[in-house]
Amino acid sequence: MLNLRSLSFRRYRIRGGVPSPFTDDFHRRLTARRFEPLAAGEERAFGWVTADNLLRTDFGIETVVRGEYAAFALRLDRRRVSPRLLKAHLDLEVGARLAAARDAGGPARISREERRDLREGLRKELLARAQPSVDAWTVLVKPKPRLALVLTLGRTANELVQLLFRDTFERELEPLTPWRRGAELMAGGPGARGPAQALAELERTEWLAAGSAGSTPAPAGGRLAEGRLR
Amino acid sequence: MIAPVGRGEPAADPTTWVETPEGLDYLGPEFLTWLWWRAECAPGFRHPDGTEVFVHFDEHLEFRGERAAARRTVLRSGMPGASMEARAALRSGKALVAARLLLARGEEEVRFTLKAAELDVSGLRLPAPEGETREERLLASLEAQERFQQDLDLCLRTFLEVRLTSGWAEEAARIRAWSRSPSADEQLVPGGAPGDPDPE
Repeated sequence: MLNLRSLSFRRYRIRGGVPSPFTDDFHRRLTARRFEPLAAGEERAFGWVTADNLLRTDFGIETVVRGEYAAFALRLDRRRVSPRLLKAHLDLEVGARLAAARDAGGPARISREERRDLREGLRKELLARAQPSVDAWTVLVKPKPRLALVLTLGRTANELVQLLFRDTFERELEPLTPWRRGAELMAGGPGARGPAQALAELERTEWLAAGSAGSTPAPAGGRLAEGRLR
Repeated sequence: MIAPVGRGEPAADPTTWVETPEGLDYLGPEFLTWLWWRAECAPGFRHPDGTEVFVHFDEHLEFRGERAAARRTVLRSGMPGASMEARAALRSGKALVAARLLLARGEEEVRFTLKAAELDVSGLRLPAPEGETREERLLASLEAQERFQQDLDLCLRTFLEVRLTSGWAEEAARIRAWSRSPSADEQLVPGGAPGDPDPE
């Protein structure tokens, strides 16, 4: 069950509109990019699952719509072979082959190509037996303001959500950085060229520059200077 | 002039999209540094509908030297905002890049860590939601996180209303003066301001 008591998130603006989460179109798009389990030998698989249960991919109003939001999740399964385990198996296998070659009276050596093929075969064998790690990260989409929240700050997760969202809805997710959110908030504010341009033309503040020392001065205008934290 | 509620929503026409310019990575740290100063001297912010929000800096401050290549200073626990080390970091030219904050709106308080460069939010603790069913409690939490975003945006907009005008030079001078004034801890220690703290 989706739980929002404690969360981390990055905000994105969706570049263009998305279908209403009440429509079949929205659910069909999620279904087309739903999570499919790892096939034998696959190292990575990702796709959409429901926000409530990472085993479910039945997208519909009941499983997706949460108030004014659409809620779903990116699931990522990864399978990997421990390099140390692979090396240990490889050493054993090479040792066994060298011993067999010596017993047969032949040259006790293994060519570079043979060693490479042996390593790849062992890697595939171990990969097929490895248990995948499973992760899922919730995505909240509010279509009308074209807002998306990715409930993790992990780089891989955010990159994959951006990639899969583009594939699913044919729309880009742009992070709401201080500049982008600031330009939105100040639309129509100071600056005849528009806030985005005005923000782009700002110069970095040098905090070390000379100034007068003194007691704590009030902010410009002194608005709410009487305010205090309870 | 304070923009009316809703002005911050994006334009409906996606063709009006503006690409993000390069080299604005300082804007978030400047905002957070300003917010720290503002929280110390005038922690209240007011929405256009009159709702007041108060900001308090909590138990984590992280400073970085300019252009991210310089040293980092991390201060944790024990009200680091009042510490001499925090002021010393600012005096040495470092900007505040992450902080644990508390936002209070009426009876509702939320704690979170703001990572200034991208406006990333981590460890946001929303109030316990009310509701008889899980669905009702989820919707209450969604509304609470929306209020949180509005409050964060209010702080950012208030900052930009000064930052985008000629009044910023004076505001920055006030912040520099404040950084040189004794912190709450320094006022308790005879002998004046300390040097730069040990970097992490």
